[in-house]
Amino acid sequence: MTPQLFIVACLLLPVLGALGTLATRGNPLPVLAGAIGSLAASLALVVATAEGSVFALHVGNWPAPYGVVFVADGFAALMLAVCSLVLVASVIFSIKTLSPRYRRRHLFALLSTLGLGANGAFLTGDLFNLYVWFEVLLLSSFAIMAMVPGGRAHQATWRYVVINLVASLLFLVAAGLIYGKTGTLNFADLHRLFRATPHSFLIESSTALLFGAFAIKAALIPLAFWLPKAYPVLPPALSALFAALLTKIGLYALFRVFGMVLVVNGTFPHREILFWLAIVTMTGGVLGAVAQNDMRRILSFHIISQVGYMALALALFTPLALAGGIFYLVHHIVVKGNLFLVTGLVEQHRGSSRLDEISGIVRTSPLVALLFAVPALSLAGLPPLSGFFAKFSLLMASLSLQDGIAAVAIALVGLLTIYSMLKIWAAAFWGEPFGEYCPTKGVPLATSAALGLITIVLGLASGPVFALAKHAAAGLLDPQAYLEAVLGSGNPDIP
Amino acid sequence: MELLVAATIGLLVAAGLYRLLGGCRVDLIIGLILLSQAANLVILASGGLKSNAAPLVGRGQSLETLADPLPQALVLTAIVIGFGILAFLLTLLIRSSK
Amino acid sequence: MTSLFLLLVLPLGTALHAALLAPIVRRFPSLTGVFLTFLFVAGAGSLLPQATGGAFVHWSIPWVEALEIDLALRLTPFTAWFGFLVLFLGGCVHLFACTYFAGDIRLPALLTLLGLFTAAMLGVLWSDNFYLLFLFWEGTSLLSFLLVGFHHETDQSRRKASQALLVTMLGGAALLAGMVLLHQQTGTASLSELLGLVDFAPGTAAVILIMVGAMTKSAQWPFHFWLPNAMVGPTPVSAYLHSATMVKAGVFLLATLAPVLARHPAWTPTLVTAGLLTVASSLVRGLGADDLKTLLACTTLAALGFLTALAGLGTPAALLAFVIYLTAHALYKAPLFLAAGNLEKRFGTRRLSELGGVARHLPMTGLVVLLSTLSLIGVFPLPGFLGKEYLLKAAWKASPALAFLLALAAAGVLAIGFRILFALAFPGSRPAEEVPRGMTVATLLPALGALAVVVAIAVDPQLLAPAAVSLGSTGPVELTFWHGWTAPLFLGLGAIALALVLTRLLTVLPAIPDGPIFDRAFDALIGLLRRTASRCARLLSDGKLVTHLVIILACVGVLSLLSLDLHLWSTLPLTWRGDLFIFLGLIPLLIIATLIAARSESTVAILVSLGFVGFLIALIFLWFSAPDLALTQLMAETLILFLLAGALAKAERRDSSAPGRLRLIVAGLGGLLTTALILKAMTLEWDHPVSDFHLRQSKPAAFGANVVNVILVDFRAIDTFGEIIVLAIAAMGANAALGAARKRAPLPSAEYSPLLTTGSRLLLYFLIPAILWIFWRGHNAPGGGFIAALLAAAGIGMSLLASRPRYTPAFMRKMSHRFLVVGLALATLASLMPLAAGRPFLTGLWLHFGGLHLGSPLLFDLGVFFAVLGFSMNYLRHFHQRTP
Repeated sequence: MTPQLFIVACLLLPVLGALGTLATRGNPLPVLAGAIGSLAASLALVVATAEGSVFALHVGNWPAPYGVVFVADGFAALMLAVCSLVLVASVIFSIKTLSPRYRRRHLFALLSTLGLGANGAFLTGDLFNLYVWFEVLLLSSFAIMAMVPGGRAHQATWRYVVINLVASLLFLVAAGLIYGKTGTLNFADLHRLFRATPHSFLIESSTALLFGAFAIKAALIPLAFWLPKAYPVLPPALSALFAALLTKIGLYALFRVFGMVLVVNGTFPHREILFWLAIVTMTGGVLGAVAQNDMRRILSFHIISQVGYMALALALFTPLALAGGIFYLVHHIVVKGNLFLVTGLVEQHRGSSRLDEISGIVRTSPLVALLFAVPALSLAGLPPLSGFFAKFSLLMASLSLQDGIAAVAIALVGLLTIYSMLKIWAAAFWGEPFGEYCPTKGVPLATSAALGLITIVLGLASGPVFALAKHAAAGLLDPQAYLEAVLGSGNPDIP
Repeated sequence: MELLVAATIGLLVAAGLYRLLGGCRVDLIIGLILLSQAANLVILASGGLKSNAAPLVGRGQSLETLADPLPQALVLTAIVIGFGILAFLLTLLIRSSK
Repeated sequence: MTSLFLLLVLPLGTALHAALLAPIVRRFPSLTGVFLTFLFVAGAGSLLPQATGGAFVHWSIPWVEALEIDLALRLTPFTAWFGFLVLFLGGCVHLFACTYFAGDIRLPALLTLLGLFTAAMLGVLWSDNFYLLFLFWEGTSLLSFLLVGFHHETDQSRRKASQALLVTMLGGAALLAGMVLLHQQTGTASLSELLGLVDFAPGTAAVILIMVGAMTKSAQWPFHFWLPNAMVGPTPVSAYLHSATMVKAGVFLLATLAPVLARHPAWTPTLVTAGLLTVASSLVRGLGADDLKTLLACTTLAALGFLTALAGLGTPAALLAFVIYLTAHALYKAPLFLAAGNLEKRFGTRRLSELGGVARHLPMTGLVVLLSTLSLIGVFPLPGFLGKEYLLKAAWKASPALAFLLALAAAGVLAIGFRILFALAFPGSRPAEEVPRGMTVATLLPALGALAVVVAIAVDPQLLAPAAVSLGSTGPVELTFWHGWTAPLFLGLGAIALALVLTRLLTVLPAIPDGPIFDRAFDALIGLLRRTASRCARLLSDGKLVTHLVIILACVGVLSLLSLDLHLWSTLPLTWRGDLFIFLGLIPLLIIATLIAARSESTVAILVSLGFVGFLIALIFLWFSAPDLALTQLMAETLILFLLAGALAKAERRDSSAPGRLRLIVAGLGGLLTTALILKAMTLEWDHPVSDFHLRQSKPAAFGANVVNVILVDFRAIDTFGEIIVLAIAAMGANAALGAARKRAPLPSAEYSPLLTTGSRLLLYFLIPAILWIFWRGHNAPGGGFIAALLAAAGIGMSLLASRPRYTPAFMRKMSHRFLVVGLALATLASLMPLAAGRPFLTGLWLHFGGLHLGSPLLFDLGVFFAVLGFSMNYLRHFHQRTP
């Protein structure tokens, strides 16, 4: 098995999973199998790229930049692995907790295509192809949102759909303009071109549109209006996946395109703006979370705040900050997905996720409390859980740049995150239990426990994991291996 | 001529934005339709405009005079994707009016 | 080294044991208590040789090398001695807890938390790496939160515990930042290496941040307010938190770093001032209080103030005093708290005024209270006496004025001690029986420990010398009880006298009102935070969609405008061609149609104008050499208009638009920006090597003359693959939004018309060859799978109108479903076939029959055909079913 075959597996297994589900009247098992398969393939890619090697798959055997290329480097492989992991967890959780209504409406096939869109976006080395995978991902998410019944959900769906479509159009126009100006869409080719030409500033107006498109998808304030209403209406099994994938794809695109392709002379367009947006996003998101009284809503606002951290990592743009940002992405996807799953457990256990309607879970189900505590503490950044290393590396990076604003923001926003987690803990988990409660089911519990265990392992084994992130960041900062894999000796000859 | 085309596309964008900000859901959809038409034209136009130069090879025209085929392929993909998304948006419109 | 590691694991093990063997712990609480205490005390005992022997141990393995976080431990005589206190008192507290909570279902939970907490505290003491220390530091904060909030049923408990956590976590963040700064300044993250640096001047920011961190932990002014509030925790917890752990972590860090950081000019003044202010504020609260635990908490605050001041001085003498004061305080504070617990358990109250004379009725507890209070007051020869003596001595050496101030402050603390002593030991009478034996023993043990320390020091004055030296003390480090008639001795005696007077006065004077200003300030801060937060949340999630769109568009637009570079426009190739006149006919029509589409409100006008816009754009495509685009645009536009007509008929219209002028401005600027962007893209004439390749290789390598089609099914087939998946998702999305139809009745339609039926069937017969032809020619001329499929869909749509009874929703659903699956499967198959031949994904495989080329791209295009057909049929069904 060559790494190229693993790349193909990451793309085709979700398709086959979706096809299998469609052909068997909504049976979720093919999707689960496809997700597990692509998880295995992406783990194999993580191993293969661990030392900094990059593998390119020239689709159709056309040499780059003439055809489309899929590229697996350390960054892409890590993202593939964690996203597939959360997809598997979410599918299992959905099978066990969602009503048949969702299955009838093709939920599982759509989950599979959602995963496909994400995998494609991580792997592609072509700007327009990235647009296509974005649309695959986005339309799947639209369709999943549209399944949720209720007037509030409909309203939220509209907002979500329209804002994201505007972002897609911006992306499309930007891709067209960039092609018009440069004549190529291939990431490696674009990067080579920008490095070689003195006129790279000419694309800044087009990259502004691209920047806007990615920033909307990543939910940076003030472009994040679609998120706070949309996520809380989803059932937790699905919001876990949305939280893990959607904003992260936007961030991934920012990292990949701005942090690698558009880098000239050690910087990239709109970096200053990104820095300030990141600070505002961190602060605004966590303040939004502090004001909420529903677990789902608190967690949704946290996503925004955390996105700010990761964007800050990109804006700082030092090797340590980028490595920290990549580690942050990996950590966040697992932890955030798990927190939503735990919310699902709480809802199943107590019938609500509103803080004024639940109390005393520590008494009625200490296991759920423990399952909440692990990702919550990790998100808040307590050692030795994964979140600490993520925040800590950012703190270190900002202090070594003597960037006081960033450092203060990192510390204070972390404190406010603790405050809002404390609010959940004190209201829902502590206190005298009241109301009815039913026992939690085994499989969802085990799913969440597995993700919790991974959080702990990510923390305790953060040495090797951080080393992976460091390699991935080095690959972005010095994409020589990437260029070599795409355009160099691995490139097929012109027929 | 380039100026004229660019201005026309600008007008399409303006019309689309105007409609988009109309507030009701029909406005949103019409706005998005106009904007995606404009986006397609932007891609085609920014690749360069040539008439009577359809990219069909083997008909005696020298390759240098043919229009750039890649933006056309991109626009084609974009049209189809936009088509799928708009169709889906219309189902949302129908549902909300149920 | 292994013993050190074992000792760290020991409390973890007891925690695990309590958690896993909860039923056994609940069944045999006292047995568990004795067992745990034995373990802890034995562990403590094993540290004594290290503490008095002077051996240094260092052990380190890397953990996260990229961040320089090592698992590094260091054991010095001082940390060993401190560890001895932690484990010894931990043993007493465990014994007490097992008796106090006997029969309570939560005993295992408490023991688990206590065990973890002990381990975290030992970790703080023994970590060598900054960040490992921070890990344990945060661990003590978190676990003390859980311990303080152990009775979380009450609102009070939850609030106070949260307050403690927030304050200490704030300090934690500061501490971490300070450590990073120190690390970056010195290049080492190892505590022992830092202490070994000789010529090192610490940076101001680092010093301030570390002081803030330690001061929050040790409850120093202005962060002192959380400690008295933390009394809501169970008694054994308070005893432990106040004596050897938690709050001591802060002063421990200060004292450890003092030899290096005291070089900074801000260190000594800040810490001495903070310490004195803490003592003062503790007196304000404590002198008037009546609650026994509050009183004890205030004396803790005061002791911490003194310890902070000593660490602030950082002189050898101060560090020696630090060691003995710390020891003395730990050994009298723990028994006092535990005794308070005994009294509360027996008499049901903690109010001093109601506990008059009770000590006499509980002989053992009474004895402990007497001994410990005397030590608190500093009566010869108890450890408290030594502590006070050396404190004043160190202060006198630094500055006599400071010594006076300290003695004055000490007098206040002593007055509190006298109050407790007089109230509990002397007047009043209450009948009582002895408390459970376990609790009494637990209370007695630390008091005996204090006596043992006195005896040991009397025997060997050098007992604590290694500890003091390892902390940075030099010079004479033996502890003696008698130094002659020195100034500090008089100061100490004066303080006792003053305290007696104060105690007398207090009974006469009205109590000073309790003024928790800081508490209120904290609450006000939290309130402010909440108000800001809800404003922020409203901004982010409430509000009209239109407003949000305007903000988003404005942000992106402004960013793009700012980076628009204008100076290249002079090179714009303004061509003036002969065909312009035709073009001038097209453009004005498009402008008119666009304006109508932008403004019109009636459904018909919208549909017609949109149709015109689409049609005219198709003509533009055709004009600019894009026949495939023109065809696709026409077909897609037709279908969209068909669907739109169905949807618009039913859609309601509500008015919530943006203000008209704003709408115009955004629209106008957006249009202008787009125009400018296009012009700029046009001015840049770069080579287009990619499409050159496509033009050149289309025929020889991909066997197709229609380059656009070849790009779609071969060069960039993966885009098309994604595209048909988008269509499949859109088809599923329609079902997701509208639900899958289950009806078997024929689709509703206009009345039956034989002409239409026959006509549509004829049309279908005509269409089939046409569709095949368009599909086939696609590779070489305008056409292809997509266009052919839409044509087929149009034919089926016609048949629907003609009301053919076979076309029930169920039938349409089945067919569209099948077409979709077949289409996707064919495309997947076409993409996978080359893998079997050992070629990359989606490589074209070709069979050549003379001039005829059959290849996998054609199969792929067939997949596109079926997928598009399935998609279109699904939508026709949904919309036909729902339109009148």
